[in-house]
Amino acid sequence: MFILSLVKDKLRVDPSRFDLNYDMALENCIHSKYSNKVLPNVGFCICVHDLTEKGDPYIYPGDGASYSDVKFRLVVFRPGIGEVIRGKVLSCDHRTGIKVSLGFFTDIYVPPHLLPEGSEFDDGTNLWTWVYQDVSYEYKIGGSFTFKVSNVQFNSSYTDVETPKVVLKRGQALMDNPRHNSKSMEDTPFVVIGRTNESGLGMDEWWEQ
Amino acid sequence: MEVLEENLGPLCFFEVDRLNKRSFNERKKALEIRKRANQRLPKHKQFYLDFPQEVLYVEDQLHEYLRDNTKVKRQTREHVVNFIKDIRKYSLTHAEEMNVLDLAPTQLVELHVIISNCSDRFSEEETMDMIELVNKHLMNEPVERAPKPSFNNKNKGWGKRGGNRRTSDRGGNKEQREDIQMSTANDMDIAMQAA
Repeated sequence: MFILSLVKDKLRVDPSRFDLNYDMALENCIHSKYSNKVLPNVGFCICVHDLTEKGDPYIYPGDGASYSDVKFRLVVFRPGIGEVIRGKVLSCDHRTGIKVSLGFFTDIYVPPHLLPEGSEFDDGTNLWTWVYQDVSYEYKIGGSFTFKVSNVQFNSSYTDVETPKVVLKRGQALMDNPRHNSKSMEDTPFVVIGRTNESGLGMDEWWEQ
Repeated sequence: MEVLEENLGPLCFFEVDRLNKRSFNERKKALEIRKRANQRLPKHKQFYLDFPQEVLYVEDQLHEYLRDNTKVKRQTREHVVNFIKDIRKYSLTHAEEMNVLDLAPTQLVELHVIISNCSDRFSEEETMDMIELVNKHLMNEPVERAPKPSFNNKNKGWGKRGGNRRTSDRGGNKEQREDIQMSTANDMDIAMQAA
């Protein structure tokens, strides 16, 4: 579910942070720039793993901060296709299916056509239910949910032909309440699409023995 | 800013959990050092006590996910390494191995979901054996957290120029710091072995 990515960047350390251990100052700079954000075609960046190469810090005229070329490895969240992941159900919707959350990442959808056969949406309770052999199994909000990754989408809202080499976009607003998030699937930069049309997938309580 | 390599290799939940713990401890230590330094300084000379908010949020959520929804708290490094050695005798793909390690399936249904064409590739005994391996290595009693490194205020000379002297081992924490450094070197071994 997590991978390592090697990134090279020129990092700026403000003079007010010169008292810090230099490694820590660089890591803080990386975290404020990459953490909780999506790197297009790479994944959702979480934190730094280590710094592999640190260049000498230079000070340019007009700015008291030091700049250094650093190569570092990032821990990135990027589920592989076909991977089985366990999360919690966030919300149910008629059009978008079920939204699953992993705590640190909540843009996971299981669309209606990838739910198991016999799933129906109940308009009254606003919940999906799976009807199998005349027994209806409920999807509970907040319940433990297992799904298989079917696709991973990177959506770009930039329409220009020339885009900068690597563009950072906010993956998830801080402290955002996911249930009131009105962003559609096309606006979010990194979406994971899961499926549960196999035996063993879905709510965990259905398969407990 | 340039992405040199998109995918250097996968990380299992155990490694991410260790990394999380380590960076939490380092941050706590750094904060303590700065707090104590600040106590001796006049207000206009005090250091900033701050860390980027994003990483605090993400790492906190990640910690909660790994501790509550996965079986990471039942594993130690030896368990994971032994499990990988044992599961190698079955010809699983690398992705399937990682998935079994992360999800730690204890029921046949879960294993059949992870491994495609399970009934064709392995006999029933072999699948039961795989589940026994998971139970043996990955489902032990929850490991108690290692005691967090306590800040020992024996560092000499750190108040003069101010700030951290994390690189020098003038304090009494040499053993604990060595422990942390050792563990970081070994953590990468797990990923390399699995690769």
